[in-house]
Amino acid sequence: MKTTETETTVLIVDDEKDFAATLAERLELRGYRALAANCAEDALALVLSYPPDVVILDIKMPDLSGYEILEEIKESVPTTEVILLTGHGAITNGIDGVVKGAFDFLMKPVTMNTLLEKIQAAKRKKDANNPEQKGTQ
Amino acid sequence: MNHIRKKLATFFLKKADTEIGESSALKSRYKQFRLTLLVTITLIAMLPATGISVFGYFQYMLLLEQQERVHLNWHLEDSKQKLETFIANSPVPPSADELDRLLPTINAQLEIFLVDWDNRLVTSSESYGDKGDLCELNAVQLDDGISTVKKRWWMGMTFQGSAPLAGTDWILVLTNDGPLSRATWVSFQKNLVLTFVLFLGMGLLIIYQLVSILTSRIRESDAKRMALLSEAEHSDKLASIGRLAAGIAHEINNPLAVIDQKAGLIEDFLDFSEDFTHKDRLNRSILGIHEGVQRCKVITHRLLSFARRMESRLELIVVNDLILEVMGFLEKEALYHQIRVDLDLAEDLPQIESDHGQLQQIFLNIINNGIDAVGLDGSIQLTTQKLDDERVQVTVTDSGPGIEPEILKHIFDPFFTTKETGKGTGLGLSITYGLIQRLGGTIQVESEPGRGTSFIIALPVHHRVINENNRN
Repeated sequence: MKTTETETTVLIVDDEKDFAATLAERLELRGYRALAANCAEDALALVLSYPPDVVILDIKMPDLSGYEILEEIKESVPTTEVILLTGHGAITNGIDGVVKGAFDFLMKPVTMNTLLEKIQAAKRKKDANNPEQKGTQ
Repeated sequence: MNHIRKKLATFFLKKADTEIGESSALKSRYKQFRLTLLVTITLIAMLPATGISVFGYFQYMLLLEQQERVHLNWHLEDSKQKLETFIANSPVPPSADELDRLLPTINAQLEIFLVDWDNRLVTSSESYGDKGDLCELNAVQLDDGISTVKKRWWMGMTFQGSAPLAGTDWILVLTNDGPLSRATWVSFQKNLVLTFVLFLGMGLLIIYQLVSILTSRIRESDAKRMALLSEAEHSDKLASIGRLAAGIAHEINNPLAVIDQKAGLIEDFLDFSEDFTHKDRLNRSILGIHEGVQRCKVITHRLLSFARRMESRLELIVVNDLILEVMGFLEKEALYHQIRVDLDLAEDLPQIESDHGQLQQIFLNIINNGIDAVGLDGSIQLTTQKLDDERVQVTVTDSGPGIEPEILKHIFDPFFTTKETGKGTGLGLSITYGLIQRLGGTIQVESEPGRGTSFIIALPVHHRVINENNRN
């Protein structure tokens, strides 16, 4: 098993339970610390208790819209990078998200390699922005 | 001459064009309309005209009659006076032979003779009998002694004046065929009828032409309206199917992501496990799942891009360069199929305000379709031309088998495909149609089985804002 990414905590927020859980499992297999949440409430609670490095966030959520969750995450833990994941095809949705502070956006279904690349890039950005925190988590 | 011929040809072609696609019921309705209009206008225009000409004819006749009456009256008075003077001055009453000789000297212009009160001729008349015969005219007409007029409408007019001579039992009669003698009168009538018929014919011709022009105008505007209606209907259909498609695509995308992840997880576990029986086959199965998911993904993404409301990024585009660029992508494909690509690019094309990516997709779709249609060993022709100051036209013509009219009708419909299952989603041309509409352009297709197919795309030079409702 890979162990190089142990410092990276990833939170997956998706109302599709199976998707979130499976993705978390796969990320864990690759050495990440992965958390999964299926609603906005859980997601925000997890963000506060285990501040993740990267959040993978579905835009369409039943209780709060992805944008609102994005704003709340950015407010409570500004250093966290958020990658938007959406099944809805509009590129403009993603662009809106990036304007609102998301790191990037991806369209479902996404290949593992693309996702890993994006997570690593997000993590690099986070470390570059907050060099003093590197390795402390 | 050529110029006129060309105009005539376009006129007839246009006419023929508008007639295409009209049902026979509609055609007969236009015919009926034309006939009704023709009869109505004829009645409205021709009845007063006929009335006026008949009225004028009678007025003219009355005028002639008046003149003739005055003329005859003068002669009658004059002759009567002369004759009465002669008789009064002669010691013996003159004999009939004497009178025969005398009368022409009294009035040389008109026919002059005497009758008695029984209407028997006293002197001989040129036209109405010999001495002693009963006069063919009723000469004993008026007792007041002033002239009367004898008319014969159909044969012409004979004016007749009778006056009793004082001191005798005779009546002086003067007749005149007048300026309208029998012969001239008949020819006058002939001319009159001929003129009337001629005017009637010309009038009818003018009315017929007017009615034809009117009908064809109405027909043209009807055809235009119908075309607009059917286009609106089509884009409406596209819009609603687009929404449906987007909904379905979105719903499918989620479980698809789950399938993909689950398969990925299994794959991960397989990667991290040691060899065991059937590991290879499991791996291959997982690969199959991934491929299936990939295919679904292509479809859902296409559906979404078909439905998506994407903001166009406008920039100035050199259409010829864009075509060359697209051909760059497809060159290998064409070469592989031994398809000759002829480029006929106009040099005076203005740059257009449009979306580069969307235009690329449009031409990729259409040219790709052309390549698929031609198959092996044919040709594709790309033509660009300036339509007017506002539009640029790109024509893509292939030498493929052409398209049946039945299929041609549905060619832009979503999910309509003639390709084998799995080879085409039936969305390519729908997407192309939607993109062109979004860019403010139009696309037409012309095809005949066995003679190839032409896609004619007109793009606006300046981008126009399109109605939001038609953009889904």
